[in-house]
Amino acid sequence: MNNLFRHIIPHFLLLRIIFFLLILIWVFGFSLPFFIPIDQQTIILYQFFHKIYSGVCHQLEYKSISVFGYYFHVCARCSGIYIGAFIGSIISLFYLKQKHLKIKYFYIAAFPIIIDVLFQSLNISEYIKLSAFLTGIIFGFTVFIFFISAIENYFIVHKTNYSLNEFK
Amino acid sequence: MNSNKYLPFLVCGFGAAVLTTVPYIKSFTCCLIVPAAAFGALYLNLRVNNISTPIDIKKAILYGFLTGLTAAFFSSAFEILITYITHTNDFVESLPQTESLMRSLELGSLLDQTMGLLNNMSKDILATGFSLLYAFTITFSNLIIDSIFGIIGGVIGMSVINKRT
Repeated sequence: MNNLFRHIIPHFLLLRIIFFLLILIWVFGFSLPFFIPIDQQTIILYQFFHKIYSGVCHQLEYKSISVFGYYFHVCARCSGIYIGAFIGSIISLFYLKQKHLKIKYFYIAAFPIIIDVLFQSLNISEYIKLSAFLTGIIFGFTVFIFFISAIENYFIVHKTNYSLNEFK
Repeated sequence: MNSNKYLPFLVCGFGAAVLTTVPYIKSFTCCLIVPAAAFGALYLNLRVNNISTPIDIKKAILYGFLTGLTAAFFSSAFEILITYITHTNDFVESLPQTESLMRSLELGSLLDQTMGLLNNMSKDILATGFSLLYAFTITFSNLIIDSIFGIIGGVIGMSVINKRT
C-alpha cells in the first residue's frame, strides 16, 4: 500500500500544481487592476479581460471590490469564490493526503451563500460586499476540495483498482 | 436514437442561457448558473433514464461540457437577437462612461485606436443592430468560459450525486 501511495503522490501533486496554476491565472486576470495599473500599454489588456469576465459575472461596480480606485473584473461574491478556490489549491499542494469528504460539508458550505443570496433577493438585507466575499470564499474553498477529490478518486479507483478508503 | 440522452443537457443548457439573459437573476446568481445547469443535467439524466449506477467522470465531463456549449450557444444567440431588435445593449450603453474614464487617464494614441474600434462596434449596433466583431467576441468568449464552467459543474455534480446515491 505504501508503494502504491508513493507511486500515486507525484501524479496528484502534478495535477494539483496544474489546477493551482490555472486558478492563479484566473485570479490574476480578474484582479489585474490591483497588480498592473492601467496605462497606455495595459489598456487593451484591461479591456480584453473585462470582456472575458463579463461572461461569468454581471460586473456591477457597486457589487465589486475596488482597489486603488479600480474595480475587479468580477463582483465581490465571484471574487470570494475564486479566491476561496485559490486558497484551497494552495493548501492542497501541502496537504496531499486523500480525504473522502462527506456530502454534508458541501451543503454546509453552500448554506451561507444561499442564505446571503436569498436575503438580498427578498430585500431582507442590503448587498454587503464583505458578506458576499466571505460566503464566496467558504463556498469556493469547499467546491475546489470536492472537485479535486472527485478527480483523484476517479484515478485511484479506475487506474489502480483501489478504493479511497484503503488510504485511510 | 435515444433522444432522452440529449434532452437533459439541452434543457438545462437552454435554461441556463435564459437565466443569463435576465439581468436581475444574473446579478444574483452570477457564475453559478452554468455549473448549476451542468449539475441539473446530470441529475435529470439519472431521473429520465432511470440510471442507478454511479456516474462516470468521463460522462460527467461530457455532460458538463455539452451543457456549457448549449448554454453558450443559446445565450450568445439571445444576446445577438435582443441587440438586433433593440439596437442597443449593455456594451453600447456603458461605452460613453468607459470612454470618459479612459480619457481621464490620459493614455495617448493607443487609447484612440482602441476607442475607435469600440466606437465602430457601437455605431454598427446602433445603426443596424448587428456588429460582426461584437457577435464573434461574445460567442467565442461564451463558448470557452461556459464550457469550462460546465465541466467544473459536471465534476462537482458527479461527486455530489454519487455520494448521495
